[in-house]
Amino acid sequence: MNYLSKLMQFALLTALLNMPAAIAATAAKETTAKAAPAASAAPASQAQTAAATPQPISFNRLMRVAPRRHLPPMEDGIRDPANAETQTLQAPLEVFSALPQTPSGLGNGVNWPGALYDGKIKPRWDRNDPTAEPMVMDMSVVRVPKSTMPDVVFPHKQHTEWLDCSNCHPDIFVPQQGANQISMAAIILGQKCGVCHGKVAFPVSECRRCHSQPKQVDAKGGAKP
Amino acid sequence: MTGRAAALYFTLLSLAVAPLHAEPQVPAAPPVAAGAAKQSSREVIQQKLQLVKMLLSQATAIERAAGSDDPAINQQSAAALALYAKANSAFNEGDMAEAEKLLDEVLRLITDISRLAPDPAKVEAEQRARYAEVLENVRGIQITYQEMRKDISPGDKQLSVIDANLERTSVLLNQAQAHAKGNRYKEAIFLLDNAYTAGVSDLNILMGSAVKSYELKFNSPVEEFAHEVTRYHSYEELIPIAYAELKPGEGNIKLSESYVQESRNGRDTALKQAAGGDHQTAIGTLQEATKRLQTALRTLGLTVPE
Amino acid sequence: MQSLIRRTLMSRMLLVWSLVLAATFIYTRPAMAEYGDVVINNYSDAAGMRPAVFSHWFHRVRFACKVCHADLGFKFKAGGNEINMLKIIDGKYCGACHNGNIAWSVSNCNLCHSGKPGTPTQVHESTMQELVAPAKSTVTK
Repeated sequence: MNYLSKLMQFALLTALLNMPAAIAATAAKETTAKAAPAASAAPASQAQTAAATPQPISFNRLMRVAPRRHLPPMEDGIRDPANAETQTLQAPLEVFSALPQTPSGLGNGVNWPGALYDGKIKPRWDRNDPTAEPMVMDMSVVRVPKSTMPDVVFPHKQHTEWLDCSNCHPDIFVPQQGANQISMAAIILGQKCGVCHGKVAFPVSECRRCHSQPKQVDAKGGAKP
Repeated sequence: MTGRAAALYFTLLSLAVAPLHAEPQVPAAPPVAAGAAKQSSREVIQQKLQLVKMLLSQATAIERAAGSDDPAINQQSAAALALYAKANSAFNEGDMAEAEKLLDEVLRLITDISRLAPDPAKVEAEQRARYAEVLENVRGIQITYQEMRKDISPGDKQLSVIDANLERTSVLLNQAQAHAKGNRYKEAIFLLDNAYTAGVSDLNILMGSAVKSYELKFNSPVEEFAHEVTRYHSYEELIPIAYAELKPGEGNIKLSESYVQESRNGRDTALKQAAGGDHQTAIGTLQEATKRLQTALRTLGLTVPE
Repeated sequence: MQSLIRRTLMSRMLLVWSLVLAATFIYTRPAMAEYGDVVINNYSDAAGMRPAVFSHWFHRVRFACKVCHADLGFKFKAGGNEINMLKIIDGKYCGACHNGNIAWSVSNCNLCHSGKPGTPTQVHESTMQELVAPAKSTVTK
């Protein structure tokens, strides 16, 4: 019986620790009639600081990063709720709930390539022609970082389903071995991969999504040169 | 553990995970009154009025349309101006619905006019820019093929594919350039688009499901040193970007500047060592200098892992 | 003995429960717009309009990145395209679709101009914006 009470205490504590996430999830699902964020003008900067409290990007894998909340336009902190048309804008959750999600929920929290493969979304490749197909290149680039982090696998396939060659080459990435120095610092500052990742595509707090290939180990047990 | 305690535990447990009504995150704004809705609408119509006024006076399309030979376009621009005048008076009289309807019609007319009477000079400038862009893309594809060619042994059938492609691309390129010289940009762009599409799709087939592994393998300390120099430069480039984006405080700037200076001294030492032939030591020195740069970036507020 | 255990359990539960209540009311999170929403405020404030807000996810569902960023010439830079109403009415940039044919026309001002006045040009919730920056800095992109 004592064991049972200990078990229940543990369960209660776990629930307590998950409280913030539960609150966040609930508030996101609610469309409270009351929620009409502070209006315009001078408090804009103040509202902005309140709306975008900086959260340090943590490369500590033990630290959980809070998932996104996907608030509807009326409550999202950058749109003006006093604007009549804001309420006619579509809420992200209406669409996201039908799309496959990523495990971490970072960024949009949507698995965009997955949504594409499942046929849930059919984004046009050509502005006018709904039948045009992308020219997909199935070539992966493996970059071996100097540190102990696993190798980075860059898949052209998932990128060329959305982007054109000229979007990245040669302005952002020179298509030549050894010609691109990429560091995490550069990525965080919005260079190289950071031109999209961390702004529109999934943010780089999820190390494993890129650093996905364990370092090759040769027969003798040492790392491959 | 008695039944009551257990019951209380489970109650607390279920309450802890049950949905809770969160406090509103920001202070609630005063509710918008029914009368206020009309007022914001008036504001929108006034903004639309200003927009239309600006477009009618500044859009070159309207100017051209007014002086155009085509009677239909002439008529449209005259209609646009007339409707704007009507909308203005409707607005002044307080008839919001009428004003808005007229303004929407004017906007539609202006959009049509812009499409029907494009500015020939502007169109040509745009086409020239687009031509330059597509030309660069096609040249990029050419270079990619040429680079690929270097790594393929003669006799490989991939070589014939690449050569065929290079041949076709250069033919199309020449034709396109001829068109461009004759100011026939539309045809030139069309040819280049074809060349680009063909080039890319063949490239995709050639690359297949290849995996290119960019490993850090150096054949000599000289090579490794060159790599370290590039690596140093890549971090150095980030310093001004960090200043601009992170806008650090005075103290942080001073501190980071001292680190940058230290790193520059290290780099100079490393270059001297390399010039003297001792590349192995130079590599070590330069790596230390790069670490200083990383510290400088951290001082500016950037998270620099590894 | 049992009553002692019961009392200890009760007091501990009271403590836990009060912590739970405290967490409910003390823990608040700021409102967050959708990731990838771009606020464009180059000229809006001066013109007396709300800044335009472009949401990436809404467009991504409908168009591949290439359509805007390769075909229509949008640069990868918030505010870096110098878009104004003249260009839009001319069918450039946003106007390539927002002309009443592919998407809503230009007469729906505030569907786009829906931002809070004074919001600086930014990519909302981007990594750059979320870096630990000194409080007095206004990170603009």
